[in-house]
Amino acid sequence: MKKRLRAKDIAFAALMLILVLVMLYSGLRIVESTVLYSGEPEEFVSKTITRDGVDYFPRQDITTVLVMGIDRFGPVESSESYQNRGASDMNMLLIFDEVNEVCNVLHLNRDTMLEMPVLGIGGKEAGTFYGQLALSHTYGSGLEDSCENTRNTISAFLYGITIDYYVAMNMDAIAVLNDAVGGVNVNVTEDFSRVDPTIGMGAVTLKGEQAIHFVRTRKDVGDQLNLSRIQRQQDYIDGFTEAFRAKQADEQFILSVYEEVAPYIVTDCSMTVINSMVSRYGDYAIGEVVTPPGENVLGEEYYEFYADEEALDALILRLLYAPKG
Amino acid sequence: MRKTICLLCAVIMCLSLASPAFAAANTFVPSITYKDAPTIEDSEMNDQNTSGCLVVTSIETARKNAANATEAEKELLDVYAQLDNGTMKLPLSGDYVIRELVSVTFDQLGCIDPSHGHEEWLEEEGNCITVSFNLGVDKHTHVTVLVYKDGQWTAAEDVTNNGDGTITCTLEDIGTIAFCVEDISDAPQTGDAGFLLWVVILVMAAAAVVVLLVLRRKENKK
Repeated sequence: MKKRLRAKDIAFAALMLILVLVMLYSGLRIVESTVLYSGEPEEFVSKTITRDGVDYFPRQDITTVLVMGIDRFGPVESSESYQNRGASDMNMLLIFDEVNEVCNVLHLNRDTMLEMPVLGIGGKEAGTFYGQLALSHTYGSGLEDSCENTRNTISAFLYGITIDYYVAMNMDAIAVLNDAVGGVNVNVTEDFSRVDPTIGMGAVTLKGEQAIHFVRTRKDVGDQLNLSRIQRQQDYIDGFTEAFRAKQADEQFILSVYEEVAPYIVTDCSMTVINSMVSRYGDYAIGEVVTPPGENVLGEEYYEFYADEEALDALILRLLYAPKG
Repeated sequence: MRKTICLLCAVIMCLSLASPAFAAANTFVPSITYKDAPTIEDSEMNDQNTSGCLVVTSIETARKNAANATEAEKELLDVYAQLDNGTMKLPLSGDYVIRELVSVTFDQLGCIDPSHGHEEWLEEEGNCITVSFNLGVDKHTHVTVLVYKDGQWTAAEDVTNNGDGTITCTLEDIGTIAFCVEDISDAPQTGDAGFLLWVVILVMAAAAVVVLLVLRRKENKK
């Protein structure tokens, strides 16, 4: 009887010792993060925003997908460095609104001036840089790390909202997707003759490289401004969506398009996610297609776009937040 | 005579009408496409302005010139490879991140007096060059500048963050240069999931202790 008690006592003592050690260690970790950390304690980021006495919180009934158009040709490849030359020329946030069953599009100007994380050697953050949004993708190897950097940059710009997925595509993907849907109908209102003489004026069905020229080029087209190019990109999205809807009923269509475009894209969407989104959101109408207003100024060498803060704030609250209660 | 004058006026009017069209065709402003290696805002050596004497080469540029790479470019690529795969460490205490790794060399063609012998002068003991680099850093960021020479890293002196994105430092040598900042990526934050996890563990362990003590006490009473 005594021996059994002793064994029980030892087991009890050992268990108590382990639990006390666990308590001590977790207590130390908590103290370390709240008191001993030499820098200023980070504030817990609350995503509730208050405007005119009304609290807003991030909407939970939307799914957001960041679509980036990278100014590179050919299949995606790593720069094998901590920087790359692939600027994110097009940045569209697709907002699938599950309540109203529409897809709103927030199109950010690639020259939008903002703070972005800088990635150093090894992919770690090495401070920030204030510059054009398009540069956020040039940090990193040009693959997932660069896409994440752009996602984080835009997320921070939009008050820290969660961007659920991203898709980054090189220029050649545009031609592939364009032809996969049988061509895209647009109304051409500017003269493209100096860029691509095959693109006429008026109603045109874009094929292959015509699509690339239409969405990418601004030199020698119209007023040569990025703002006009943004409008063309939005017109193209409208046309593409219409053509896509006509084909999406074919079960094999999505798979075949994905396989064809895969070498030219970087995405965190698996085929399962893509199929799920197509079946869930495929019939959504295009809702608002908006670009934050602001001022386009010529910097020392390049254009700089400064978004109007009040207008941007209203836009973010309308598309991405909902009032409490 | 009158006809000549009228013709001249007509020609001048036509040309002046056409000039806005010419101006429009030349108003294309390119978009920024990438952020190149840090530029040099100012440089002084031996009381001479040497800004035009220095060339900053990025890894991307060195790779492009691979077939005809200079010794400096080869060294830059070699050092980058070693830093990237972890076989080389910088002599810095604490956690740091290399924000930029470039090669800085003298460009004789850019100097006012190519025969001045800048490289030889700098190599003499006690001589140094003051350089301001545009890194685009935040005014609160502390930057450490290290120069790689003869297989060793040496920290630059008098590194100053000028508050406008540029830093100024005094270099005894030039070559492969690393601009380092503090790594704050692993800094514990009160709001993150790790903190909450430890709170949960602490609470559960404390609860387990209480339960065990209560059970033990009941058992002893029996």
